[in-house]
Amino acid sequence: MGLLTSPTAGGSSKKFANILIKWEPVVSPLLYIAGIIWFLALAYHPYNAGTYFSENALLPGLVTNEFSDGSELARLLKALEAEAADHPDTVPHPWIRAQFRQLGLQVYPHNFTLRYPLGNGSVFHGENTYAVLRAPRSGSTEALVLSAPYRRPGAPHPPNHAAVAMLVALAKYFRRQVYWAKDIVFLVTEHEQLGVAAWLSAYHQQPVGHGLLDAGDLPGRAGSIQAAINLEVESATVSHVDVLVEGLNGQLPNLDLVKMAHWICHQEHIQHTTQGRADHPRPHSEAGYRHSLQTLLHMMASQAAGTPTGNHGHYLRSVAPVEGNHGHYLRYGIQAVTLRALDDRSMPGPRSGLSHLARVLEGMFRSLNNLLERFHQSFFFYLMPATGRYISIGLYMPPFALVAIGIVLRALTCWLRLPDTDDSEGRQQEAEGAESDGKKGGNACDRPSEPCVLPCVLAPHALGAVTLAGLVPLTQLLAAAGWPTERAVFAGLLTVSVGSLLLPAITSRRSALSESGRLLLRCVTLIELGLLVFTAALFNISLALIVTTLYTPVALSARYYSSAPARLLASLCLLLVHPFTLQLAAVALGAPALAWRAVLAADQRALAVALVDSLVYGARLLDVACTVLLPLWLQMWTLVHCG
Amino acid sequence: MLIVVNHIILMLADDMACNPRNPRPATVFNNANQHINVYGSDVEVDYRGDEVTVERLVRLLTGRLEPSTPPTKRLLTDDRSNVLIYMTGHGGDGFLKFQDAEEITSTELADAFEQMWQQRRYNNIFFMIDTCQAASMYEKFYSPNILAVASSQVGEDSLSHHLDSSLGVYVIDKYTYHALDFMEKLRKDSKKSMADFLRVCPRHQCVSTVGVRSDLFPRNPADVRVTEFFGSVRHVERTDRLVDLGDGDTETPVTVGTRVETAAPAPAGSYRYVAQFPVMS
Amino acid sequence: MMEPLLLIGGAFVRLYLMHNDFFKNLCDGTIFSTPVSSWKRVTEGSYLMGQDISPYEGDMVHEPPLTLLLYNLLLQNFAGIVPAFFILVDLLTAHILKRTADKFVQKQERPAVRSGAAPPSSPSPVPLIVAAVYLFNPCTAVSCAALSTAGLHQLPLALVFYAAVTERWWVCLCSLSVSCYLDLYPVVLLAPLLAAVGAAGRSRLLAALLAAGCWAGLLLLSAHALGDWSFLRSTYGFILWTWDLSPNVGLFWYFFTEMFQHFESLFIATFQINAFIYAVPLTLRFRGQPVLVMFALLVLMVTFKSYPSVAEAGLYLALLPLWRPLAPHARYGFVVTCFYASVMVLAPVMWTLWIHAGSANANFFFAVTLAYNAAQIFLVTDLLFAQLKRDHVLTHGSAKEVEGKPAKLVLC
Repeated sequence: MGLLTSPTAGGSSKKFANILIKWEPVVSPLLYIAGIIWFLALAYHPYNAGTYFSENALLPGLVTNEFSDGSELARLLKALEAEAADHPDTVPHPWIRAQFRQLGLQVYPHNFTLRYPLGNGSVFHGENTYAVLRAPRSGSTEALVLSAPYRRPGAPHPPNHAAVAMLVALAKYFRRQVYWAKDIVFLVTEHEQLGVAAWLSAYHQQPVGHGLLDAGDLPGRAGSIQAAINLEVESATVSHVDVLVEGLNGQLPNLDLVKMAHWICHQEHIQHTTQGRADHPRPHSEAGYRHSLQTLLHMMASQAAGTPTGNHGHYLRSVAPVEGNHGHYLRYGIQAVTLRALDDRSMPGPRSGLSHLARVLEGMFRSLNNLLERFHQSFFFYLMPATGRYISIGLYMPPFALVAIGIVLRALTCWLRLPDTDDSEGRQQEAEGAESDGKKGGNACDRPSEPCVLPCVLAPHALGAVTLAGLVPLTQLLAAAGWPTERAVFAGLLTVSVGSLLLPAITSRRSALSESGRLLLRCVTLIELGLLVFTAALFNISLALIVTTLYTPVALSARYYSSAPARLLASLCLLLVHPFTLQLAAVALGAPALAWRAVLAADQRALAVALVDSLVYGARLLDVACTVLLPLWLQMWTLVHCG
Repeated sequence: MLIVVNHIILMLADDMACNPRNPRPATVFNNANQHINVYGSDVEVDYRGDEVTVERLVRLLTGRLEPSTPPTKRLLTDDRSNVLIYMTGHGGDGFLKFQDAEEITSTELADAFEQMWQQRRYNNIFFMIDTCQAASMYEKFYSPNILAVASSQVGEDSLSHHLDSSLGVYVIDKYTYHALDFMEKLRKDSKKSMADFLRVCPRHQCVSTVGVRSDLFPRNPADVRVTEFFGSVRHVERTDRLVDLGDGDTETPVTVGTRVETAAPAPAGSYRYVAQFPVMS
Repeated sequence: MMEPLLLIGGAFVRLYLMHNDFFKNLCDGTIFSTPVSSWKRVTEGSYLMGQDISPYEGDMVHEPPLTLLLYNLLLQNFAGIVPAFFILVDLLTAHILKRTADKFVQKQERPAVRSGAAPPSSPSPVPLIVAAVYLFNPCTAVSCAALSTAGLHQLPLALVFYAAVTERWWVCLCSLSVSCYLDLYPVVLLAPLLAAVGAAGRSRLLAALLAAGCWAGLLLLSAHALGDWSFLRSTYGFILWTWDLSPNVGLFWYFFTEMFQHFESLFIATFQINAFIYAVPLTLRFRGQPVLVMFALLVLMVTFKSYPSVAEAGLYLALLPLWRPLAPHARYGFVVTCFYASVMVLAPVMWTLWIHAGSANANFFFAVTLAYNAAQIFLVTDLLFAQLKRDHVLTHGSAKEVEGKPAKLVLC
């Protein structure tokens, strides 16, 4: 290890730095625009790929489906509807259990309790019923689940009696077959997502919901669950089946399973849709492109919401959210989809009966029965612009990277532009401060030559963490004063959002930021933003892309402008992408016909629901928005306002 | 047509007949009409499941099995034996998959046959293979007296014959189906020649092109009866000459007709009983 | 004044992590507790000892006997305070590191102040930064919350640094022996220490004998306590031969799951030699700076050991601010910082995607560990290069010209 002086190497890195500094302001916006155009182009039929079966063992749609007992199905549906009418306030568990028990299945109850943490804190009880059909000739090592939520009359969602009747009818048919290699669990849940979350938590003995959800234990189990189908049937005639894929935190089921669901629907001649949209007959045409682009954007909107709510999500359909219980299976590594059969008048084409749908399920279960391993072959990260098309991670990542690369490039140039690069000591330490989200205490404030950015980084993060932690106590406190939870959450977040606008004034009074300090703060902010979006892209590409698209321009332009109008414009742009504003905008977009008062009410509900999702189900959107996105926004706000 | 069961060594994954997914347990049919149960009461699986490995096959062919292997699981052939080898499964250019875990290559197989030849373990080999790009498996052969037929050429897929829609599985390969069809019509005294058999499943039936390799085989296939390989009809020749049955392999050299006394060689050391159960290492 | 605040803050963060479901789930991952540092295994060993079964009988316990006895004592009598014990040890380590930094900075500044080159300034912030980085580094905090014994092993190592800086050679060598007893790898630190002992005018032989004797004493004591030497195989043997290939942040597991059995011993030896081989050359090259060499060896040890855990990274990251004077000469500050930042975020993410969600696979996580180890190597080479450049500038001035043209220092 020694040193040499090299006359040729002198200044080459400086030259590179100068080129970068000179051209970066031009290149970054260009890359940003190119990335967006590229991404939008991916929805065009020739630029994405057709779905295919990667797992050969599935052998989908090769059997002749034989279920034909439509009259039995109709009888069961009638009986269940009568039962439901007799007991409008409870779930007719005795009837359901009796049906399964008659078939000779092992039938078990499952009780769970939710201690609702917000407001006055009430306690909810719920009960599920599940029946296990044991595989006749193999050990109970693997299982498949067919689940349906029971909905009481008067629930906000359309009734789901037909799905429950379908479960019983299929159980009766499956019972007679000898070819099952896996146990089949028929699960009827209460309270929508909560029932499924509690049952899965009890099945795997894995607590969820910060101790708020007491899932209890199960009296009986089957094998390890390989796949699950959740069923929602709104009427006895079916115009189309919608396949819901988006799960908790934007997790998606294996593409093989999704493909299988579509394929078997296709084989049984039932119209099938994704995001409630059928394929365009001419995908190569311009109208076809626009159609699939809209489908893609729908999927992105619902995936970005991060809640397992199927198409549209809470934020866009906050009036009557669609539940998709399959989303909770995904977090246990169980591949699952929801099949939602509905009779939509606007949908052209013939109508099918329930026995048609039963044959679809029969076909799916026979295919799943063939599985020899867990689903692992096909894609887990994809976007779907049509029922049979997908954009894999390899296709969408490059345009995403182009959209986001400006953030990284700008961080680099900020670093390079730091005055007197060779001598700014302590750079290392401060930059390291950012790597643990500014948690590492101590800084170099007492040295006048060095910028003091740490408070500008630490204070917003602390504020974000306190906000998140304070929401639950706040609702409890305000509940005592008679405020409803939804308003309390809204008021709390609004106060923080407005109050924090004063943060730059407070932090800059303690230590004025010099020119280099502002550069360093920009650098740190951009690095953190880059980390956030690239990490989010791994979990939830839709959310990451939306955030990146909105934040890259403001992040690139977030600096102190000496002219007041420019500063005002920058502030305005920033306010437009404030997490709180974005949330409101998303709700308003989902309900364009509503008046502002209704939008506000919907927004309040959506916020409260997001908090519950975070606390009970482990949805991370609100957490990330509060602890990372909001602080980042505040850092940018500081940059604009710290003269 | 029948082959004596204990002359067949059957290596199978054997996961179909008793698979819980089989709607007719313990049966395997040749087609969807369920005409012939090929897993009938006379089927004797010698190697199944995890016992079927490439190493085990090569050892079986070359006679290098563990000493404890029972004779029924050995290939007890000599230089007067005609050996039929039929292989099927998933394959590619130059290999055939075994049990989703490993594969045998065409070179390994060719070398195994050469060893067999040098050890005088066969007179003729008829090699049949039904897999994708099957012809690639016999291209490396270099030992004499081998006649080979493959269901497809290199670059071609070998296709299934039809789907059993109650099982949801494609049940039999096209070439095997037609070969079986040909065999089912034969009797023990049939005069059909190998040339007839090699014409089985032309391209319009098979979709793939059946490949034949006969350059290693010294006789004209038209002169060879099918029953020489199938049906274990033996070729017997009468002779009046005295035959020396060799002296190396047999324990007591015997010459037909006269009895020759040989002096027993003095034992090199003291004898002792070997362990009853050989210790495997 | 700041220090108690920092300590209280650190304790609070650890307590919070211990009682948070999200992190509890995360802590089950082996990123934070390897087979040699898992508390679950210690409790298993303690139970076995309670049943009068040698804990080293199976393949469960790899903790050295004396500490196992200590933990056993703790578990039998004061099971409730185990988390508090872990937090206390961490705080103590942080305190020792701060004292080390205090002394180190004083020593650095003294010649400059004495010669009048620099005015006596207000107390340097570096020691506080050191303590804060150790206390609030997610690596150490989460390791502590996961009750990884690797966190406890940092105490004697920190003591080695402290004693080396304060030139208390007895303490230094004894704590080095303890450290070696616990982990084996810190033996590399002996080389720079012996050089320092020699430079201080003491006998190197005596020092080496002292360290070896102390270590042998610990081993004898262990054998005496257990009644036999079977623990050697389960502790040192397990470390050296790397039998357990469950994933961690190191380089071994992925490579050796792919390795043919036949070549295993050859490559194990090749890999292990990396952790040791740099000790002597670096000591010779940087003879004047034993602490720098110790630091570099620490980073290399963490990179190349068989079961590294992030707690060990926490120690050297905390000591990093000591080399602040080298920062102007470092070239890859930005790159290394970005590497570390992204690795710290991506490692848990990839782990979750692979193990919990099941949608990623081992390659994703291994890619992150590769980046992490690359960052460590970058850090150490950049630091040593910066030291060389600084020496050059101090002796030759900062003008870099060759035959009138501007030139640049390059490493060779």
